[in-house]
Amino acid sequence: MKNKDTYKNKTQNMFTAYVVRSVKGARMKYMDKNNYRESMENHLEDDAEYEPMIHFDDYYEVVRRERLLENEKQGRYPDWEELSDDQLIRAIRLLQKEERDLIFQHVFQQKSFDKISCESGKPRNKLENRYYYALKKIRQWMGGAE
Amino acid sequence: MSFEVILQQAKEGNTQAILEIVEMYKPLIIRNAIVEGFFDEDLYQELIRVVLSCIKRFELLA
Repeated sequence: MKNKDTYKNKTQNMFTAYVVRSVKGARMKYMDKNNYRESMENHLEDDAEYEPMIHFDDYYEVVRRERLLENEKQGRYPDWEELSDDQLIRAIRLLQKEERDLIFQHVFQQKSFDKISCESGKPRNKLENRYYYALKKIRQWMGGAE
Repeated sequence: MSFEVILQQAKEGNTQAILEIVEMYKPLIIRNAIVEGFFDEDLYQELIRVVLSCIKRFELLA
């Protein structure tokens, strides 16, 4: 049945889009952490009072959060790839289903608002407003979550 | 077997289904584990972990 096959392909496409963005984000974070570690090693080797950091991972996490907060204070918010899975999943689950679907289509499936508007029959500006309002809610929740 | 069925089984913890899905996405994982022309084993392991996490977190449409 055509509808059933279309639905199954849709599931695989959505999952693939999710995996692609997650892998891209994880690679970006890994590279960032490695670059930071190398820069610290080069810098601290010259420091006579340097003591080896036993828990670099914990230290890096603190630095990363400080950087996020500093950027948000200046109105710069992280890209989807920069958000950790746990925070993002928790925030997205709080949205309404329509908002979740819209974010999924635009972010993970990389569909333009024009295309989503054509497919859903809803006005483009309404979709855009809904999308950016959902992002605002996510940022607020993530800002308040620990 | 359809992808949806395999994914559902993987989410329930079926090892064979999990392995099958990881195999499907292995080219993507390997491509992203190459850094400056060299294969990074640690990054590869991390990306495998990410795919496993995606299997667990992805919600199938009802």
